[in-house]
Amino acid sequence: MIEVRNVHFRYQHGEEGAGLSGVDLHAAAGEVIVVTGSSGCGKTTLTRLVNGLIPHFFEGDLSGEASVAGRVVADTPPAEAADVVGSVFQNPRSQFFTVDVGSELAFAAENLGQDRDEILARVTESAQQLGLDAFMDRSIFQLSGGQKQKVACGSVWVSRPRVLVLDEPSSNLDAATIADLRGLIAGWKGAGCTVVVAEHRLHYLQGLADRWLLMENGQVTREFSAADMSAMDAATAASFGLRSPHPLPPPQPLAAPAGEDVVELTGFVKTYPGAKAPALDIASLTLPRHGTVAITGPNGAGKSTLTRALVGLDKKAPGILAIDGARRDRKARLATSFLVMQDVNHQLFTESVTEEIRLSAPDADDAHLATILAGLDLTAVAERHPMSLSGGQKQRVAIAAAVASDADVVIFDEPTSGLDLAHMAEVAARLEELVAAGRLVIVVTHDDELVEACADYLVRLEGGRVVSAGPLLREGASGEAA
Amino acid sequence: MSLASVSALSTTAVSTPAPWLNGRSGRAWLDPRTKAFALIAINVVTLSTNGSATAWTARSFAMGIVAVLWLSVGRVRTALTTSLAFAVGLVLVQYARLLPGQLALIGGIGTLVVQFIPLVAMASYLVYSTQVSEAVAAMERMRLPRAVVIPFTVVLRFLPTIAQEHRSISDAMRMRGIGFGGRVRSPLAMLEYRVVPLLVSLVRIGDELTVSALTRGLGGSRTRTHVSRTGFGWRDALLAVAVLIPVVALLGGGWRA
Repeated sequence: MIEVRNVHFRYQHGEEGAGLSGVDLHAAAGEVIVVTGSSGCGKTTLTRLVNGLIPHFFEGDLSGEASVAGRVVADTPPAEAADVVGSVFQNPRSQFFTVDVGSELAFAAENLGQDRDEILARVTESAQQLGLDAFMDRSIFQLSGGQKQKVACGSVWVSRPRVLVLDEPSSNLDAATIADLRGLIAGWKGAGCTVVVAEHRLHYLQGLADRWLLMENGQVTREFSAADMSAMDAATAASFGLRSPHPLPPPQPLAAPAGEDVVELTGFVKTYPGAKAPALDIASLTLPRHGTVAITGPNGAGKSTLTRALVGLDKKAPGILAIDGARRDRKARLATSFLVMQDVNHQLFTESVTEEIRLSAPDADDAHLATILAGLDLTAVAERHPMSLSGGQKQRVAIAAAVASDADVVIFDEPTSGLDLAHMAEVAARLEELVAAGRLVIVVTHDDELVEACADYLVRLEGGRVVSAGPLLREGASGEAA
Repeated sequence: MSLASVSALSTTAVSTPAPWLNGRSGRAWLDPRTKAFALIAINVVTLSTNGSATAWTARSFAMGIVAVLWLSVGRVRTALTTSLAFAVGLVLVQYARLLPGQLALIGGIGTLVVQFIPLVAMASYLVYSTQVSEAVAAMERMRLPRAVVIPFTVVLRFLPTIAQEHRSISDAMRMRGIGFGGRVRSPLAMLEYRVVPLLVSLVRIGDELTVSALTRGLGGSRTRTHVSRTGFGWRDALLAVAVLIPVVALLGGGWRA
């Protein structure tokens, strides 16, 4: 189905990603192939070759042979290849083209000129399968990230492609939606489709993938069979720069008190206009003063509502945060908290990294700012425009702005979505530095591996309420297979 | 009050679209082309500067049509608030001149409300009640070229995106003390800080959207299927006649500019 032989590719505009240097990929019908490797290894580039975005949308020098379903990639623009190849991407927010769920599910099949009655039947079937039949007239903007990603999968599947290409599809999903995604991929495999998944998160593909390719510097350096992979322990995976190949046991907080120095939250309750039940309902919660607090829970559990309330951004969410005996109302919290957003592009405003840090500390002297920049490995890019930096660098600029500000509460919203093992470990190290500097660090995340790497205390939210909270045992990276 | 209801209208209009496929036939309750025609007719009626009694009656009639359209999609509150705002505007137009001195200027606000509420309410209804796929099907039936149809759908897709991105950026600005009463309060800096991240975000989302649409066959050489059916029925005829009544009344009453 997919025949790629000795393909070399270099992007015309170097910043778009890693190229390919001599890649082979042969995939038959009914095969699920996972392509993995650290950021910049070329796995996204390989998916772009299969769906024809390379060389037609992302231009560059292409050599070697590549064909999908007998059609030569170099002669088939992506819109023409779309009847055979369906693609799902990482970001659920930018993959839907229409506004309502029903139109979106039909979109690809309509473009491909398929039969109207058949499209309608498949749309209805897909909506049921995805649990979205109650949402057909809903605006996609109102759906959760997980539901959006399901709509993206559904829209692709309604047109019945024979090859599916997924580029880090699980990055923004919670555990329940990842399980649903696995179910969808299994269904496609069962229907005889070829599925290529580029991923950092590996565990959910165990028992489903037939082969696993490890890429480094634009080359496939290793291939693992399903048996190799199911036998691989976390330490071996880490030696290849890979995240855990097996699901971690869900972190369980101990039933122990938070200790002597505590932070107390009281009266964090919020009901959105028109809603029957509160989205957030925390009468009181005690957190330790020192250490990293992780807040987890499924999509829609109230994590973002709590985040906005904690930072003091939501004018209609009351609540008092007491730290070291000092009670902070909303305005006090807004002045003393810093939120590192999931999309850091929203919070970088100035023309240089130095200016960005100075915005947080207008009166600080240059030497102090230089120390902060050096601490976050930003000295070399101090005069660059923040928007010209890589995702990881931008995140560090936001952290530097937090460090420079007098905020003693620093909250991170999903700081590791889509990050490989090395970058995740780096984020974990940054969190610990902030804790060591005496700040209260709260991280809101779906990433169990990040929780294991750095959290001292875990709060689990469901339906706006705290269902469990307590300290976590820290033993360093465990190498046990589940 | 009236301005608040206008902005409430425009945000709800882009966030909640029409029911999927309008039942089994797939035919829209009203053809999007009829709604577009009604919008133009209401434009003519409300924006004419005619100040005669006939003209005010014609405008009220137009407002009534829009209110009925909102009722037809079950939005009682929207129908009521827009009608009420319109009525308040009418009262201001008629009686503000009786107020002493400067207060008489309120009449100007009344004129603004009366002219724009029916318009904005009609435009919002058009967006609210029309699915993207319906609009595309209707435009292709009007033989509009793809170069017109595709950008139009992109605009519909981008309005809510802009609102959403803007909210996140406002959050970030408040948190970093940029704004009136914050650390940075120069209006120019505030504008720059708001616009630059917004543009960067929109460009990135636009790129990702293009990639996703291409891989789903948009712009390919095949003839597109339309799941939504377009076509005119008795409701279309009724609406067309209804919106023509005030237009004719205005023209017949003598078009005084």
